[in-house]
Amino acid sequence: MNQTLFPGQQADEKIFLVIREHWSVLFAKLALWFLMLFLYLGFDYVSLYYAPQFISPTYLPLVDVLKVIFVMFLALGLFIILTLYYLHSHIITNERIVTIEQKSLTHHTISELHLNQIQDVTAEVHGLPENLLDFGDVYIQTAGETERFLFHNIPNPVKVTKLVIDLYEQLPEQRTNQTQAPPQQPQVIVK
Amino acid sequence: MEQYVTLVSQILLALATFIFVIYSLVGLYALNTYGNSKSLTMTASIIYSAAVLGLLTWSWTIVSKI
Repeated sequence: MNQTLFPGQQADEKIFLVIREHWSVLFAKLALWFLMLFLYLGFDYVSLYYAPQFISPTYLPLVDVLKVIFVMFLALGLFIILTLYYLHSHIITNERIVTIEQKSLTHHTISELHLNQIQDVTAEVHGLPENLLDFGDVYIQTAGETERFLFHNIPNPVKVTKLVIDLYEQLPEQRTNQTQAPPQQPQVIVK
Repeated sequence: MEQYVTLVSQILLALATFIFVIYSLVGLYALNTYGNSKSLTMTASIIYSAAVLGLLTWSWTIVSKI
């Protein structure tokens, strides 16, 4: 039996893919975090030579407290970056696509789309880093919905697009009901 | 002047600690509620809670020296 990854998951539902943002997105956030850490570590050295008044007995308690506060929010920032990265995911099963968005610690959204509602799937890769590291966006246009499903900055967008199309074509109702128009072949946009 | 600096430091630290603890609790709640790997979320929660306690102890040490 599959592990339960989202509310409403059926016992016989087969999970094909669990996608998170590309590692380079996390890497960029962590690089900024490490920059902040180096600022903290370098503060004592810089203040010793360039701003000795900060280590005078008058201001030392305030500077110490500000350093503690800085470290607190640095730790909190790392925790939030990793938590949001982990909780924000997309799941593709043999029946539907589930997007779990974690925009902030208190903003959690789950959207799902049954594969038979798919009308169009588009992969978009734009920019040099995206092309080199093979990540980008996947748009899924649904029937009756004006808003498109968006997988932002996911790895291997073209493969994901092909997987969605393959799963759509394997739906039992698609095999028996030939009158319904199949979704268009995946479009790949490379800018 | 030094008394003023001390007072400002203590108020700042109390305020920051309050925000830090509240956000940490909200984060741990979100992680344990929405995370689907219980072992991973539990391990992360324990590590982060230990870090929070360490930081609070450190800040308390700083305040006691002022």
